[in-house]
Amino acid sequence: MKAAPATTAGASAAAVDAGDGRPRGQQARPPSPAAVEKKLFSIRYRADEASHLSLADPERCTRCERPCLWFCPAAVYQWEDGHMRLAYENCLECGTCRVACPSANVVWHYPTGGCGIAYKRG
Amino acid sequence: MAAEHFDAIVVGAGPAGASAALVLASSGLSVALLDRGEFPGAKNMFGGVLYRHAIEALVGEAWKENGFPVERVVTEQRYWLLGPESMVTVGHRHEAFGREPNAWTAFRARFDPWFAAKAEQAGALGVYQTTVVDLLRDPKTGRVTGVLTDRDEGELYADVVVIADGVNSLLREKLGLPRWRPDQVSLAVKEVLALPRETIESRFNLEGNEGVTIEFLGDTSQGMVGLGFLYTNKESLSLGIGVMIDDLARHRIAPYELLESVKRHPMIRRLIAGAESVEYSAHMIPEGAYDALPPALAGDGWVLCGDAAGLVNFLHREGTNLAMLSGQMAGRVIAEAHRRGDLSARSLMAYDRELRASAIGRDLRRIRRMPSMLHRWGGRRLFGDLVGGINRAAYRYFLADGTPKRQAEAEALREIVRAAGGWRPLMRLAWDGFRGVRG
Repeated sequence: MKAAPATTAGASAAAVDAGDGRPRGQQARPPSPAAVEKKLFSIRYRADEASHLSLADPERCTRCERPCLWFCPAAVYQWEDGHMRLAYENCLECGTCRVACPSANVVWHYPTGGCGIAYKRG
Repeated sequence: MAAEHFDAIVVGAGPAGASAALVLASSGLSVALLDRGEFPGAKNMFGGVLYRHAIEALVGEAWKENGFPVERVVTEQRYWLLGPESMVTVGHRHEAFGREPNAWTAFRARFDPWFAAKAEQAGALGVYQTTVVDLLRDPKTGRVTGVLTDRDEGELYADVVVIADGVNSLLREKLGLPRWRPDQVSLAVKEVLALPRETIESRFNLEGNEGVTIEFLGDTSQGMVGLGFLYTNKESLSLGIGVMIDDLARHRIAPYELLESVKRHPMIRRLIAGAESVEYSAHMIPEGAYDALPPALAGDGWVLCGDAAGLVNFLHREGTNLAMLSGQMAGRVIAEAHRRGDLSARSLMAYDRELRASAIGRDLRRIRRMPSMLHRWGGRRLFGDLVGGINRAAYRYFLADGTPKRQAEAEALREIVRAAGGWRPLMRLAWDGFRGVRG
């Protein structure tokens, strides 16, 4: 079960030299989850019933610059109407969000044994 | 599973855990080998290259068996410094690598089950689809006495727990070790790109099961500290790029869009043309070298192996071999401690000492200055400006436009000096680079 692409997220901006002090390639708006959807369809998942990801305090995300909208390789983190939505069923279980969340707001458990990602090649 | 007791429990059936379980079971100990994946390797991804010396150290010449699940023998290694539309390359090909394999390209979801089965054949009890959620401890002494799994009545007890649950180890944090810092780990994303065998062999100049690995750096990491890779499999290519997580979070570049831009690079585009993407994957890699290792790799009732300990030599892109050899070392130390009847923390610390004194510890110590050096200079200067300058210098050097050679060479050199920001930074960079790889 894949998450539907969020309609509120803007189309991804091209990687350009912004010339305004941001590092080269930095994009002004988060990429659309649709950009990774086709890639995610190539992966085998066994969906867990409950999310293995949650937020310690959802309020923290409203005060954050939310780099997770960019760095998550599966676009699990989606900002919709002032709330963080977690498309946990797309998670690649890499753990980047545990390491990179600026406010250490991600509560991470492993999915139930046998559930989650199951690579065919890896 | 009602409160069973084993001589050892191994958490994680990847190369590190399976190696430890194999050694322990072969020494006659009762061993449970646990993995949360649907099968060993289901959660695993790497570049990826497997090394013969480590596999042989564990399973002898089993790699000569039919059905040894690897892709191609690496007979050539190429390194590319990429400008926006150019490259400077070095590489090495040798027929000897074809006769006496040094390394193979492979897929982890195919290799890991084969390797874990070797541990099971030696007598380890494989318990898969089982997530370890916590360590069990003696309430008085604090000694690790087993693990809590997500199965009903999921307590399993053991004299020693081998923690080999990978880079995203939750158990190492249960030991009280700190979470990785964003400057100690990278995120790698990869796609497996299917192509007909003949197309791969003609594009990469290969015969039979010969294979090529290409590591590339430069413009492709978009100003971040990062390394890309393109490896040949039997009927596919593995193309990916890893970048430091602190850079990734700061630069606001989506990893999958970074990968797409790599696929568009003129030096890469033509090699993957017509390929069908058959699997996307992502994984963290520990990049902190020696100084990111925990203060102790063993303690009261536990040892730490493989990626969970941070055993990756990023300079030489070695990881699975370090995982296997660390698992083997841990297995031997535990078996010997078991034989002597002394499983104290002090006794298990022999693993820590042995690992640090081994080639693994020595190599990680040798490159210990590199992570901070890369961080200090930064991806934009090193991978963007400097690699760009080297490419412009090469262009100037090879361009025959009537300029006298002495002047062309001087202009080429000036490109590099300018890219480094002047002579003084260039000299400092050369010195830092030298110290980075010389310890």
